Amino acid sequence: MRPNKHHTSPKKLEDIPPKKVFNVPEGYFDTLPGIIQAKAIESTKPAFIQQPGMALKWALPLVLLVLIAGYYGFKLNQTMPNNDTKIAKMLDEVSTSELVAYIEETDLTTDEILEVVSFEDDNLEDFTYDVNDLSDQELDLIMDDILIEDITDI
Amino acid sequence: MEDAELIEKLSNEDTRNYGFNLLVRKYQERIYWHVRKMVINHDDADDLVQEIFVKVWKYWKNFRGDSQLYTWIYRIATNECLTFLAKKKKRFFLPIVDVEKELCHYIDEGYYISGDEVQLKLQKALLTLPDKQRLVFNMKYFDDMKYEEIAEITKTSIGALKASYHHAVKKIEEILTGN
Repeated sequence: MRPNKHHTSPKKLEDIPPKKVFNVPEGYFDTLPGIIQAKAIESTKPAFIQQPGMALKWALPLVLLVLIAGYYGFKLNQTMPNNDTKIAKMLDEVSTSELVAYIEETDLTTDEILEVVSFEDDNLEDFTYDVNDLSDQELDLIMDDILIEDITDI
Repeated sequence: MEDAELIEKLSNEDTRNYGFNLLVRKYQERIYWHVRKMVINHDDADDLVQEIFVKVWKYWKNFRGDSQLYTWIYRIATNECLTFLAKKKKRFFLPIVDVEKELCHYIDEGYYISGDEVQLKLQKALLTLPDKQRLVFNMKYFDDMKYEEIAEITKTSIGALKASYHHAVKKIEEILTGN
């Protein structure tokens, strides 16, 4: 009887017939085309529609980034105001008596001051309001000053 | 269905889905076995086959018809297999032996694997070959492909393929005889 050469140690590869040793689950090739077709169609959809979770995943950091940028922008605006705001802030820090003293000591004439400071309608309204708020005593003092200046200018 | 007809259906927007379904049905088994022999494990082969056909669908416009349809699909499958195995090796950081051990373990486990002792011994011996050599061996020995076809798929010269197969056979016979 011829020995079963497949169960002895073969010396040549030709002694072993090419045989499939791998199997698949039952019905595997019946369901595979459907799975592949669905995946293929899915793969051509835009990425965000493909995975709704992805949209949230990206939207959240984006919203956070905008909020942080907005916050820092606001803070920067507060810490670096424009020149007018800066000057107003500096003047706010100087007391009224110090300002009066400075103006009295300077050689600036009313015309020179008016050249630098521009009065808008709003400013004038404020000024009128301020004048109306002055007491009689304060008004008398101002009138005295004006008269004196007028006299000296002449 | 002939490849020419499949190509026509796939190239037409109205019949593309139907053409693709027919293509998958025609080539799924051949591609699966080609992949399975390389990755051994059924689950890995299943994932890869799905990815391969999705790539065929996505990159269909790249098929210019210079090569035969099955050659083009085989080439995609071959690249996917080699990339998969290369990634596996990178995951292990060190030697090829670890991947070889893992694949050997799948054979021992017998998960959707049958065959007599000699067949299993041959499969284990094949795992000692470099991936590309194993690929050439599988295509020649198991799939009985011509060197010309293998050359087209692997973009390798026929001479180099013959030398590769010859070395593979020699090495396997040495392992089988225990030398």
